[in-house]
Amino acid sequence: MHIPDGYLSPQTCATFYAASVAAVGFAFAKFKKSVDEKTFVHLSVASAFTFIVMMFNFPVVGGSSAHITGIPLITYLFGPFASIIASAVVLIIQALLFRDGGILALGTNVFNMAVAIPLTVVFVDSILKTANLKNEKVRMFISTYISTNVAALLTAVELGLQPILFTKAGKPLYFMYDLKTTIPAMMVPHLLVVGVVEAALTILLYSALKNFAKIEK
Amino acid sequence: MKKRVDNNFKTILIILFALAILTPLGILTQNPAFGEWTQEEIKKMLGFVPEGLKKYAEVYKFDLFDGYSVKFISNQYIGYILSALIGIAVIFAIFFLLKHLMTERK
Repeated sequence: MHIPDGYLSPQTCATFYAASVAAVGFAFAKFKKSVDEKTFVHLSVASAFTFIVMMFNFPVVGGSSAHITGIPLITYLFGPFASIIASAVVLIIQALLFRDGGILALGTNVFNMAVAIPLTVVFVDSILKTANLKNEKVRMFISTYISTNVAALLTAVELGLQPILFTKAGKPLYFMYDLKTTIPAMMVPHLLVVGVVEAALTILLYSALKNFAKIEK
Repeated sequence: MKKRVDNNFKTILIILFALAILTPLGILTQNPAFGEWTQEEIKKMLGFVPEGLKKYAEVYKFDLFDGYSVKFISNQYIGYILSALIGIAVIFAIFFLLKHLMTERK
């Protein structure tokens, strides 16, 4: 899900940089209001956890590999704003230090994962609450499953639009496969495997870690 | 309460360290991630590398820890574990700094 440099047109990169800076800035402003020493412990633990979880690649259907993000879990533990900041920091480090995801593509990667996942989790969870779904674990499963797939779909659409929008003499300028390829290639593994693994892990670790989050508060 | 917090934090650190040691499990799969191919892999797939892709692919040059390896260490599993530990250390350093910057101003 970490888009490398060269895959996206400069226009796409600029658009998502703007969106990500706005979203992370907003999250930071919100977060700043409730800040104390403990919140930094939360942030560093959440970030470190997300970072390490993303290193566990596993094979998925279709001959490719994928990883979960851990972002839904930290959203449930520490709230959406801390989660956005923590995961944005992870994506910045991954790009700058480990070349996992591009520098020009960083705004897009931050948007797809650090912004879209926490917001989807909170949004879907609140809809399910309004719909009177009382079982917290079921809500957690559905919200996490959807958020993982939203991130995958965003990536698939951004990549798949490149050869439709940006060509030169009939040849793609940037990413080469259009939506007909990118959507099934991204969505089948995420719908069948990654979303389920992420959701199961979120439920499992949430019960184990919620005491930590509470004591720290 | 303070003591419990410290103990909890210590437990979390141990868990993170254990996970870091286990990270080589994450590179046992030889399958590449979709849409994260190198230029050589793209050339093999298409017969050419798109012009714009070639132009922007290498704008960033720092490659000491390229792809969670360490340049001077040939064993990829040890490089991967070291990368995990370096990543965690950098993350803690960033938030430690941020904490000082943000709480001292108050």
